[in-house]
Amino acid sequence: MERVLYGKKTAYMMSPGYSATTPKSEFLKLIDLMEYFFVSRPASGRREGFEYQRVMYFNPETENSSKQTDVSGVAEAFIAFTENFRKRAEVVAEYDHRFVKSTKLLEIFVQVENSEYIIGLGLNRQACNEHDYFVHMSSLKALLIRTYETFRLFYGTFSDLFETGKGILMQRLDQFFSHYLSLLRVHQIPLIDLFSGVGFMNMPPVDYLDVQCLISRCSESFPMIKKTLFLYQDKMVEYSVSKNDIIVVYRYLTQHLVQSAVQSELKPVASATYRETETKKFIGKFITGVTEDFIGQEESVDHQFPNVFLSDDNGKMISHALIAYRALNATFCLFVKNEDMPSLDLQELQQSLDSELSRLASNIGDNVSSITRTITSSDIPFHYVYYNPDSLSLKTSFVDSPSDLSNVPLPPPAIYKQVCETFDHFIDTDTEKFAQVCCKADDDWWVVVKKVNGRVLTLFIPSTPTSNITDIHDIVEQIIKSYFLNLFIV
Amino acid sequence: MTDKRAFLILGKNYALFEPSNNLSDIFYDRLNKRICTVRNAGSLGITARGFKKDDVINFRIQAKRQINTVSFSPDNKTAGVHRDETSIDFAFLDQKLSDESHPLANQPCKTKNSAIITFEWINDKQVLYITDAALELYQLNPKKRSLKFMKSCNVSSAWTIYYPHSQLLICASGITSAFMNLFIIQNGLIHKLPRFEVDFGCSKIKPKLNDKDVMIASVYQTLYLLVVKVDSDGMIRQINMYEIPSDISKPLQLAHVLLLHVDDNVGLHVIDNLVIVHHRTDAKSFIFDIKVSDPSTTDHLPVLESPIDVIEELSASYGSETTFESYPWFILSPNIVVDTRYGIFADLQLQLKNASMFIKEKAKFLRFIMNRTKAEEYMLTVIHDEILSKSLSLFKIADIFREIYDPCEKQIPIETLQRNDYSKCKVISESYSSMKADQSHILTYIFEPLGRDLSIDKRWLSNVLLEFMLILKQHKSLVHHYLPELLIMVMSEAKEYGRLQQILQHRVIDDSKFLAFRLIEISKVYPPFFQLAIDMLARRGNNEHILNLLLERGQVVDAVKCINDPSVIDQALCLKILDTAWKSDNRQIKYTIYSYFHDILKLPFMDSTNEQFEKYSKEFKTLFDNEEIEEAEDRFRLARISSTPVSINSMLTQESSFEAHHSFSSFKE
Repeated sequence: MERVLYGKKTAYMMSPGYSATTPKSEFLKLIDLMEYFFVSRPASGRREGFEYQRVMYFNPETENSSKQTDVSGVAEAFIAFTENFRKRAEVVAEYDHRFVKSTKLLEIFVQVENSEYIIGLGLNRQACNEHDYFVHMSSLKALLIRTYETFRLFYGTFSDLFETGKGILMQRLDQFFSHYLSLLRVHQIPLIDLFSGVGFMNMPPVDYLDVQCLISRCSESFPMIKKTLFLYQDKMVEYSVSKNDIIVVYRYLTQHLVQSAVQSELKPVASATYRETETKKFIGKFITGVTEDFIGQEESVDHQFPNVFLSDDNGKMISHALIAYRALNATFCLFVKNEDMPSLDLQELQQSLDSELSRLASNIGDNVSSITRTITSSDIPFHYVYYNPDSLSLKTSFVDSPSDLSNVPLPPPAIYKQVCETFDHFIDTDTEKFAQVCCKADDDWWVVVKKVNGRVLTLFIPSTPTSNITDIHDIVEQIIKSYFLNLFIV
Repeated sequence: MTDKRAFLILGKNYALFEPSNNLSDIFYDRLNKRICTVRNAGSLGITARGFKKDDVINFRIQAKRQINTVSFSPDNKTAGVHRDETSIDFAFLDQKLSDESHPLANQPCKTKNSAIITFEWINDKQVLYITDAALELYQLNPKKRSLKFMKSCNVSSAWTIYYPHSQLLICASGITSAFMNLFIIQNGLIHKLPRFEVDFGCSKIKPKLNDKDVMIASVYQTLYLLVVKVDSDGMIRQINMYEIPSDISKPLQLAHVLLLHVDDNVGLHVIDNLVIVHHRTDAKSFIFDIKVSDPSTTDHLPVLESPIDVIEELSASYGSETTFESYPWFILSPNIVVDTRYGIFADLQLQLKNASMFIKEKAKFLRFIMNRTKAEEYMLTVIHDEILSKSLSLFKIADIFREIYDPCEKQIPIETLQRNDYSKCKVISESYSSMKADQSHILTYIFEPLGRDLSIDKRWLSNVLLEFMLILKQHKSLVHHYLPELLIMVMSEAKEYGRLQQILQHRVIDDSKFLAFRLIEISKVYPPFFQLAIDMLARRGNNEHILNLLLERGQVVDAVKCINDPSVIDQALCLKILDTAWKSDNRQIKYTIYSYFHDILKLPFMDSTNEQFEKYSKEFKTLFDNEEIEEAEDRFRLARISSTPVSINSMLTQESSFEAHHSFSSFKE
């Protein structure tokens, strides 16, 4: 059983980083900057002479065992040593971390699963310099945490796997990371890796309510549905997946599942046969698991939906089957516990869902074109990164590239460092909720970071002939008025 | 009989009359719903009584012969008395002769050698004779006390039934009386409709169709001819409902069949679009609702079977007969019952609230209630109960709301009658519209009680609320403020914070100050609501509240930033802000806030003489030394005038002044 699922999962494994359509130059392969990456379990290496046993995974895999033991040992020692300086009252975050900067290396150690495991990443300073990549530790920490959560999404927790068998954990880690690390990319602008967010669909309240009602009706008719997620194109409409999981689930769905569904829909031959055979009965179809042809034919066959691990109310990771149904541009994802799968009648589900989902999707489609972008063309060139930690909404011109901002030149690399430092220093602090920081950087670019009512907007404004701080204030006001009014009402 | 447990009740309206004896005759006037007693062939008086106390007509005529029928014109000014085979006497009740008697006019029928079966009032001035050979329409002229012949139409009838609402007359003809000849008498014309044959199960037991087994009734805005069908074994297994189409050119057709299994002794009533079949010998009534099941079904079983309750005033007459072993009444159209033994003339009504005892299936029960008229309140209560007991699916509930919700506060009755078109006759049924409820009623009878109910599943209630809100939004109705309040309350009780957050983000709920404060309360449990609440207040322009909220949280700079108009800063507010700034124990903030008030806004009350500010002004001076201030001002000047970049590294080495500088920059705009 395990083996079967294991084989399938690779097929669904997400490709990390952003979609292939975005220009490559904005991204760097992590592997090119990386000195090492490891996962260790200190408790497994307590016996003298057997310290190497704490290493669960190490990359590069060719590294000799003693080096692996050393690197993981140093991490452990660092963590233990610095622990002494911690104030007693300090609350330890879910992912406790250490940043270590040395002349050669930049190292990040993140403790996961009640500090039972350490994930370590070491970057080569020289390689980073050569690639003009500014290492922003917090951003890499965020990346590391997402990497861990992605693993957890597909395989469950380290601890659960370890309990099944140390060998199983090591095998899964190897299976996942050897592939994943080779694909993992970092953004030139570290700030973009820092924020963990999703892109929300902007839609009229009545359509949103309609989606809500569809979901609650569907969950009522099929009580085995535990969690849901509704996407339109690659934007989030509604989710009931826990906030702990939503980022990685969203990334997996939008960057892998929806994308490949779109690609198969665009194939001319495939779409022709699709129309002939299936539109007769249904508009939409399942994009995970067995195809409709198989439904009802072999009832004894175990379901073949991808498995994902989602946290329950108590934070425990539970394995769910992911059933995604897609009609027009809407993708409705249902998460059903594996043990409940036999009681789910897929045909009935399709029957009850298809017409309603298609109706909704076409409604949303009509409104998407009528709403269009709130961002109208403007003569102020700028780039932005917007993040709202409360709603997890993330938008940036560097990745989303709205057409009218695409011709704005990219800011010079030196500015990225400045942005990160400004951010760390003035914005990412728990003291006063800072309102605004303007700074003028190399090449006369301005960086304005605004934090209002919890939301953070970072603007990159190319130099204008007469830019002084007063002008920049005006420009920022103008940008906010025309682009972000909804987001910054205060 | 205090315990009324049956679905039907007799006597909500009633009148008493002189019980039948050999001196008196009793007639029922269908048109005016009156009971007429004729004593001694009219010489001792003719009395007609309706249900209302004052609805009594009394007059006398000279006794000539046994009277066949008495019936009154709709305006009650003329009474027609049928006591002669070939003529009818008309008494003009609004006129009096010298001997206090009413003037009479006698009008013989026109067709030779034919006998009058009966006559019907078409309107105040028109009367139709039905003879065994023809129909004759006469115009009455009360002033001249005469009648003028208008139209006639040859038809031989065994019996006739008349439906006044549509001026529709059906004459039965043929050996078995199974041929129905339909006439509509409108605008002084007699329109003949295609004749057709009905199936009453002609057999040796029942060789002829009887007028007692036929009824014209309007059910859900369609006219039907109901015919009781008797099988050859004497059992009644079905009642055929022939639809009389409103388009008179179309033939009648069998539209519905009511299935039952009783021996032959039934009476028909139609009340509130329900067909009620009274089985006399069993004292049991079968109630049929042709719209309770799937619209495609045409064969119907009774929705319920019920005995009949009698109101207390009348039950005295029946003494020990409180539960009937058989119905002792004459059953008359449309819902009238007459008991000649005790002289009771009464109507039959529904006791809708008892229906739940008879219909156990919840969905069917609700459908049955929703099909009725004039019971909105009860219907809403039933919906409330079914939501509470979760006996309907969300999908079903949404359908129900969609059906009953009336987006406009007042219902405009649909004009079914257009009398302008004189050339054509019309089949006019009684109008029916399903019950509707406006938003405020739905709130009062459904959501307010549900909101107060502690036992209800909150998650379920929130789903129901969302369904209703969707319908309101789709109708573009203004959502009553109670709904979002309830939604927020219910969803937070159900701990569905994530979902509520998304709902608020998509602005499903209209902004209000009240809701914003509710959200701030809930934000203690689920912090993201604070942001949403502030957004809400900001959109409404309630900056004053935002200011106070931010001050409470110690966000002094943010708070000061939401003051749009500095003139609102009075001494109290200023002190409050300074106090909060001082609590921050951050010298940049203290400096920024104080200097902003003192040097930039130059608030008049902050002069040196005001003792209340002494504490702040004293400390302000010691916050930074001169060197630091000069440095900061210098930097600020540089930023304003030059475009030389200031390295961030060098700035960071002097971060305190840098921060102060930025605080400045956000105010000195």
